[in-house]
Amino acid sequence: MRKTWVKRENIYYKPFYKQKSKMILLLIILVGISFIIYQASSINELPNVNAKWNLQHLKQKHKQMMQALGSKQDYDFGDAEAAIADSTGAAAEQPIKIIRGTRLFDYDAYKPNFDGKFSCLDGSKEIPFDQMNDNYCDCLTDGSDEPSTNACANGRFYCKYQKRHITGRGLDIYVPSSRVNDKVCDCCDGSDEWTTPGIQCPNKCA
Amino acid sequence: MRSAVAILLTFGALFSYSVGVDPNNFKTCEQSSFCKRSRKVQSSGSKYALVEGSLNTYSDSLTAELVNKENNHKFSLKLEALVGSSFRLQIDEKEPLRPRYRVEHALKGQPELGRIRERSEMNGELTVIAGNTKAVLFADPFRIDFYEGDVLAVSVNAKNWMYFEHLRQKTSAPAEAPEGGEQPAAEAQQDDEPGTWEENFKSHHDAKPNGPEAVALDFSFPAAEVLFGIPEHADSFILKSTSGTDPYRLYNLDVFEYVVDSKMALYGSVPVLYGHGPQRTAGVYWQNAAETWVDISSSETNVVSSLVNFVSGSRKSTPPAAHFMSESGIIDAFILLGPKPMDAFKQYSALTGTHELPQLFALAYHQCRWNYNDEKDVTSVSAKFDEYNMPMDTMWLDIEYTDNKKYFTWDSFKFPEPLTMIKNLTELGRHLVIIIDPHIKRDSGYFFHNDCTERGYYVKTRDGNDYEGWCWPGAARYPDFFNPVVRDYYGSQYLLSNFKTVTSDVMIWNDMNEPSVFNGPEVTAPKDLVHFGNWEHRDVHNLYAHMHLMGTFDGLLKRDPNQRPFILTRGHFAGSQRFAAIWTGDNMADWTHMQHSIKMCLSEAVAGFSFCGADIGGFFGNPDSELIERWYQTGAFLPFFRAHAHIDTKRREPWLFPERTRLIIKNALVKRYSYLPLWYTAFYELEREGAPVIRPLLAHYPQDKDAYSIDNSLLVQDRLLVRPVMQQGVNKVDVYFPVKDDKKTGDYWYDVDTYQRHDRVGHESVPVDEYKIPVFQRGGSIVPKKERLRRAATLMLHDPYTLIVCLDREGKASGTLFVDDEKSYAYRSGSFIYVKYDFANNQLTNSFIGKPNYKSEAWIERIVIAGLGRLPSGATITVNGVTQQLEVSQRDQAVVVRKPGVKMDVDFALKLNY
Repeated sequence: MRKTWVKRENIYYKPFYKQKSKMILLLIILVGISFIIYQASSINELPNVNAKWNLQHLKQKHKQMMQALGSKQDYDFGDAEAAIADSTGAAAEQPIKIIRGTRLFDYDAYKPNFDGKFSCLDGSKEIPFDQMNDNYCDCLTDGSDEPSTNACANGRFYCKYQKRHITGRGLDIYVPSSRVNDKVCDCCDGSDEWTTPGIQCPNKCA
Repeated sequence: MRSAVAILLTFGALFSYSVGVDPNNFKTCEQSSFCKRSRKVQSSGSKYALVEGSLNTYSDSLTAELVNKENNHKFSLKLEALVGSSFRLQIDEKEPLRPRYRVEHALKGQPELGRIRERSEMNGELTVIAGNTKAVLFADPFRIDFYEGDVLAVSVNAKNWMYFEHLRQKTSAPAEAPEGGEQPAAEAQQDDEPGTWEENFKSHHDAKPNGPEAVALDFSFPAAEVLFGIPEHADSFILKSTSGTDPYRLYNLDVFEYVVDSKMALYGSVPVLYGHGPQRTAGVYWQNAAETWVDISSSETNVVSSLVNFVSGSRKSTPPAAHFMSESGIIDAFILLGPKPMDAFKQYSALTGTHELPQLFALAYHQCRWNYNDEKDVTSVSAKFDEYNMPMDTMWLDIEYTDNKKYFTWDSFKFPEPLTMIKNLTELGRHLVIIIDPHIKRDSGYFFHNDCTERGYYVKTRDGNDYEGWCWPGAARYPDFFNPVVRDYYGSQYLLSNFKTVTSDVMIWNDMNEPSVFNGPEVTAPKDLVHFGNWEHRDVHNLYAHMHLMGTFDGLLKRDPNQRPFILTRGHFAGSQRFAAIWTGDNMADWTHMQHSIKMCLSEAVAGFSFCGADIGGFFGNPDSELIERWYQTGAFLPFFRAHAHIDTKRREPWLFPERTRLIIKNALVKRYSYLPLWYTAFYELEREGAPVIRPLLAHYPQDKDAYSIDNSLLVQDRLLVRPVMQQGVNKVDVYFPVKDDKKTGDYWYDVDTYQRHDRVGHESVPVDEYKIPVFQRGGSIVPKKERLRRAATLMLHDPYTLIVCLDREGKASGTLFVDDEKSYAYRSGSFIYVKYDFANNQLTNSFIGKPNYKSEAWIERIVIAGLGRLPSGATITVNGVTQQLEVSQRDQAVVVRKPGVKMDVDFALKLNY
């Protein structure tokens, strides 16, 4: 019978910890991680001189920004004329008012376009601006013409309270349009129940 | 819910799923001695005759004496004319040894008597005329012919199969020669037969102290071609001939894993049967609560006989006929003379009543499972529906919520705070339904059991002890709901002062009320038990569930007189529809059971039970994703819409399937919710007129012979034609479009998804994809919808309506809409809006039926008009003399009028401009 050569690895199982190269790699990663953790824990001890990167300062700035944002997000009447008036820019000093149920990101999209019309956010359709937010769904594909009402089955209502991470990251907080004015408080601030009589939503936002 | 024989559950699902019910656990006609005896008459015939000179006619009825010429036993006959082209025929012994049982509580009240206009007598025939109908009595052999107009619609005892076993004393030594000449030899021989004075089935003994007491009678339908009715059977809508097979059986039984295409008895018994032909429809309601078998002789002719008929030019020789055979009681038959199918259905509703208008949530989607394990499970399932933005209205709890199957209690470990859980649901507009079964655990620590034992509320055995059977709790006893005191006691348990751990929003599911007894004969109670009034269980068996429901309904009504109760029941009898919805029991996760959900619910609907549905997904077994998708789509067009599953099956909430399945299910749910105004209006019209909510095609196309046997489609009122996809892996289905008259024309039918018009008749192949089942709206109808999505139907109360107008050949359409608070009885005192919309000459107008007397915040959001020749340039709406221009646009093949914005209680006229 002819002898055949068999790889050693196929006969003996070599455990992970006996493979030198892998262990070295692991060690390097662990050292790296512990160094980063060490650096991170001492970040607050950086001298005050470099104010631009001071965490306290950053925190403060973020707070200011959030407050400003909050006042800007003071909803207007959820009705189209106000938005038009707003767009003419008469009141520069006033906080920016956004339409109820929209997010600041879409602020410009809820302005009349060059033809004085509203175009659905997905661009599928253009409708007269006074048909925006008039409690009738025109943008059938994305429901974007009715940010404040429950007319569109596939629309979204962005709650007034938007939680943001210190870096500005964070997901938009919204409820489906079907939850608007349905007598159930869905947004933690209750902003989705804005015409429902007799419903007082407590503010449960953290 | 689940079914009998708990032991079988442990036997491993696979084995039992593939096998299904063991038919040997249930009697055949041959094993049921009275059926065998009554059926024997079919070969020999019987000899009954009216006694000469015994006839008496009154203004509304006639009485006579009837004699069995073989033994000279006398019977008294009473024939009453009822309003609405109906008659009631009662035959009892003239002088019975003991009174015979007469069914109570099935009728909704005393039937209103009509007036006999005329009577005439000539050569042995007595004719009585009432309204447009007449009855002709023949003396010897006894027969009654019922005519509607001049057409013979029903003929009673035309085959001489009447059979009436009079009550008798047991002869001390039956083997010996008959004493004296009193008992003719034939009868003595009959008494001798095994099964006459006692009967054994498997290991069960039936004492039969009253001996033979069967009643039977045949009904021919000379104007009919097909027979249908007598639910509940898992069989085709049209009844099949029973020659060579067992008869259809009506005996409320808990059948474990029932098989389809079977004449076996199931959970409910509704002994009403219709005969239908192109010219006439007639019905017979056989009011008898004992075990009943029904033989069907159909007019189906084979090739040879049809050739003979063709050659001889004669009409087929034997019309379809039904032979009702009951074990005890009297002959009490209602003859419903139509003449149209809807007339006959309404005549039956006039006798036994209808389901009242349910709360809206009851028509929406129900999520059930045996079992949702604990409070957290219930809350998280409800939350998942929100997470995926799928509407859902009701969560259900099966038996495991109780403390060891003691009803009116909660398992304190799994459900420590039921009131909080209920509040969490009701805050979202949702409801909870919990199960309350009739078996009562024998447990000396259980208040209900103790009360019933002390006060003697249980059903008794022959020797006067409390009967004990085996059911979910183990040893269990059964309250005697036939006793009004027991019903009161039971009903009062629902009062919030007694049942403190629920709220008045919690509704009830009454299951296992056939009654189901795991160790009883045929999984039910022995026939020789004794009920209130000293009646045997034999006499009243099919009514047990009905009496249970009466107690529940009464209790719920007392708990909150302002809220319409919702009850689901499994067992049912004629009249139970006044109290509860039904479902088709413990079906299986396969395609044939899904097909039978339509057939069974159609049969139930014509027998009064419009509020019918099937367990979506199948109770036993695990459906694959295609089956559950299709089942949701099918179930969305049956009145009762609930998913349910056995405890041994895999969890199957929609999100546990691949995303595609979840989206398809969501699509089906959204569709159902959008049609809720139609369902709600249909149920109001059921209560108002007795017209079934879902109907077979023949209800509106009585002349179309090809439509008779169509039971894979259904009509929702006369507005929608639904043909669910009930085969695996198809990309087109065959839809039958019925013919309206003899000129081979049909209605226009508009696809509800695309508004594409179909104007052909007959079978047509319609392509489908996984999202689509063919649903068509009839041209000439207007359907109200609500197209805004909510998480629950109760939250849609103030949402605006959409009207879908589909035009007929003349460019006209009409339809109704009912609006009220969707919850209370205020509509009974006039607080509602009932409006009819008419479209003609390019103008839509409304007119109110009764005064619009409900303040609704709802309004009309859009009007979709299908079938217009061209696109109008705009529309003008006039409300109170003020006109306003509206925009019009094209959507698919229909025209959409944008935002008329009128409130529901306002008169308006909307004109299309060109």
